[in-house]
Amino acid sequence: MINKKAPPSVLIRILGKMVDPRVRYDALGEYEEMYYSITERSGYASALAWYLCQIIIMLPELLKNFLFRSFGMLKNYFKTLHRYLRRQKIYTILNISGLAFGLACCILIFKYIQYEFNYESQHEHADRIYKVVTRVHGDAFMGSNRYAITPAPLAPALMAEFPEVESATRLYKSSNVFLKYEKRFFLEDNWLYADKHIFEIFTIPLVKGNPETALKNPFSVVISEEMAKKYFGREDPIGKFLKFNSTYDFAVTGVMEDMPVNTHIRSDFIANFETLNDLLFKLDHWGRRAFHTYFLLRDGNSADRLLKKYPVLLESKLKNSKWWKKEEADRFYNQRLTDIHLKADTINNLVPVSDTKYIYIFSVIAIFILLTACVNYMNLATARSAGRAKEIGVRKVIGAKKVQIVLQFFGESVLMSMFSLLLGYFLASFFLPVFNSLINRELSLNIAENINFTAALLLLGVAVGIISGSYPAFYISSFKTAAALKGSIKKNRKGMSLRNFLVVGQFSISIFLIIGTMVITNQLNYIRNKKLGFSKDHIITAGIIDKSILNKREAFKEELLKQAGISQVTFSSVLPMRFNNQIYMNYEGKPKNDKNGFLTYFAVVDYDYFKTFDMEIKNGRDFSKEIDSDSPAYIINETAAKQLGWENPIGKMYGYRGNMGPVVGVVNDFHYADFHIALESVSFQLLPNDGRLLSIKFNSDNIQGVITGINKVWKSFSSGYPFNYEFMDEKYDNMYRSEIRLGKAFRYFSALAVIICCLGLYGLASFTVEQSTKEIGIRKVLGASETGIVRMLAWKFTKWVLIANIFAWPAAYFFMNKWLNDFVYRIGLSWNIFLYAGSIALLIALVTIIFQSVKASLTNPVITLKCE
Amino acid sequence: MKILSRQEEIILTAIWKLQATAYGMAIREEIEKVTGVKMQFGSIYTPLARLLEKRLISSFEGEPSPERGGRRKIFYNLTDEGKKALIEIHNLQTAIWADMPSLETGQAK
Repeated sequence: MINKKAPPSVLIRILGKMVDPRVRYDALGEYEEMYYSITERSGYASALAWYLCQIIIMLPELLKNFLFRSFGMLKNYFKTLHRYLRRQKIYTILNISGLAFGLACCILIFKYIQYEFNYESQHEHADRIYKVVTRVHGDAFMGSNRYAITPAPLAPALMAEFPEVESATRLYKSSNVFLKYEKRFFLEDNWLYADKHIFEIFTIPLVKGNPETALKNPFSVVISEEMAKKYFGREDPIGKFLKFNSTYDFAVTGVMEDMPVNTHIRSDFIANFETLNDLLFKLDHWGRRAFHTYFLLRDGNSADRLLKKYPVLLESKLKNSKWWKKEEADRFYNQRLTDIHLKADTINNLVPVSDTKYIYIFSVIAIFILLTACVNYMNLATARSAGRAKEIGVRKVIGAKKVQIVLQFFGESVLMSMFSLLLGYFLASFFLPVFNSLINRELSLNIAENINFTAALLLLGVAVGIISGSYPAFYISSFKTAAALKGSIKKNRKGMSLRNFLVVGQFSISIFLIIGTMVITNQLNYIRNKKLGFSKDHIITAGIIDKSILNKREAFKEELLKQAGISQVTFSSVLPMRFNNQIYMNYEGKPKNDKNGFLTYFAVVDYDYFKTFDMEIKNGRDFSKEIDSDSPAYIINETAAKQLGWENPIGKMYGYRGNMGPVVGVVNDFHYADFHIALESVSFQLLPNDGRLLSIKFNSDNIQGVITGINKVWKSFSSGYPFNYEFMDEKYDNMYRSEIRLGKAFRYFSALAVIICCLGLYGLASFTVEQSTKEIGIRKVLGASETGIVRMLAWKFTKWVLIANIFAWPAAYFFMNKWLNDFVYRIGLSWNIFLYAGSIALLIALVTIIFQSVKASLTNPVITLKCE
Repeated sequence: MKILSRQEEIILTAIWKLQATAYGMAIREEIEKVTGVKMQFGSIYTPLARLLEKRLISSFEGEPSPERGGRRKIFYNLTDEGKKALIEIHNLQTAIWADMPSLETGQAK
């Protein structure tokens, strides 16, 4: 009997938990007796099985009891929460609205990040697609030596000679294409040339046409469904011809699905690449970089292996040409397709790329604002906890365990945050258009469409509930029962100090954002107001492709000048603010060992360029019709003169092969690119019949009248192209659009952070005043003045706002200085900004709490002191 | 007067019948014998606990025994109230069944 095995102690314990506690001792004994008798009869195993069965049999009953009991408890929790929230309306509104704003902010930014990281996601082979890009040594153009462009023969060579490459294509983008079909004509911006392999590499489904043959022949084009509708309406576009720039006919050979917005090859037209042989130049040239090369890597290969093969390929193609430089052989490297949107380090990209920097900034702001909202919840919940001390006391007396109370408060905060999430979602939908214009994207907030996003949001709601509920839950559940029931919980120093610490944190974030806003705004004002060296106001500009106008530049200019309000007209290759070409120049006194010559930014202009843009000739003279009529002539900027070492540049011979001529003037340095780039040398060549960029200066405020006048002249010259123009000052602002956007984002988000902070502070202040009515009463009885009391209460909070500056200032200094360092021409960080930001925060905090303080100080002490 | 439930009645009568040997297992077996229905092993304890609470039965401990993992046997017996309750229910039953037409023949007594 004795050496028989007892049931495992675990099972005994489990069974013990399951039977009615009133008869546990007896029941366990009986079970064990039965167990031994079964062991004796049929062995240990069946006894054990029986014992287990007994436990399992009891489960359903137990579960039923548990659910019944917890349902009752849940009902009670909901009831108390509901009553409490209704009693404390202001507190509820402050809390929920704060959280809702914070979450709305998060939802938007979260969506933005998801969008940015999902770029190129529709391409099935996205992970095997690479782009070949170029890196050159030395010569930095616009602050970079990496280009997204490559020579035209590269892609066919990759396909022919590299077994790792499954397929390759070149892309070339044309904007400002004038298309016409019968009576319908438009200017198009998204015209792409590509090899037929584009359909093997990228996922571009064709609705009509065969992807293998659609782009086989020159002058064939595949158009998007949207364009098919725009040009051909209900007609079948296949086989129809689009008139291209009034000269060429492109046959429509396919219709593709509209491309999604989040791919950088987004286009409405894809035309046969070899067509460029006729339109541009011969495509067999290894020295001319102008094209984007993409390839599809064969499965199981590494793109890095190609890096060693590029120089060999390049050498075999270029060895005998004058373009060959041994040290430049390693110029090609790969870029992953999925990296292009966020991590491209190149210039000349197919479309402007984004920057991870902005994603980081936005995410940090979102987290900041959400934290501020969570802190509000913590602060208000703990501050108000005194009001619930009795409830907790009673619960504990009745037998609630600490765990139950902790769970109760977690439950409450999660419930509140889920409700705020719902509200936040509606807020986010409401603000979506504003946000879209802020980030220049087309996001949509359709939760049904995007399950991952929805799941993530719900998770976020729960997380916010848990974070913001954590402190209140543990704080409140730790109340001593007796003290809670007596009501002596109010003077808890620990709770006070943590709340103050949280207020400091909140205001640090707000002040940081205010400083950020001010710095960005100041830098943008600096950019707008700095003397650029040219004038950009009252200038209309238009790129011209219409041959009938370009052939009659002089007559066209004369006609325009006859119109009212137009004072200057010029044709040039670029605007003074946006140089895009660099060449090597020969110059008088060039040493023999200088093989390349002098590298300079370059533009061709006519006689009226400097007059139109009000650029000041410092030395020498402007181009003149009387003097410079035949021979080439040059004007250079100050920096060029300095770099060439010419004390008196006037009359020095300058130029490139076949175009040598004298320098006739020196123009003051001007900002030919954005403020991220330091000023370098610039040269202008006089070529009155070469520039394709028309700029018109007007001196009338009647802009509509001026444009009508230009249109009239335009119609009489043009062969049917519409007049498509831009204002130069708007174009200028466009160069800084990401900075302007960031400035706006900071403004909105800092306003939001401040509002959320104030909601919290208001709640805290009203609570503190409520708690210290007796103290104020006694002070007044003892002779304190009203102002004294207001001052005391105000100081209680404002001192934390002042302390917040200590944290905010260094952080803001560090980060804003880093941001400003991207600019070559930037403002300094003066103390004023910090002081202003601090004062603004202080002032807002004061306004928030002053009402409560004054109300408290005016209360008659008799009322507050009469009952004890 | 509170009327006992049928379950309580059965348990109380079983305990009374068993007298000094009335402990959990014995009670259960007795009930199975009387009713002819196999009971679930653990189903006796909750009603026992309820009867204890109502003070209709009391319990005392026997000697510790190795078969029960060193635990003592718990014996139950009826309290005075328990006996009273049984008497009452018995009287009630008799009263209910008295003066009734026969169920089999349908004839009045």
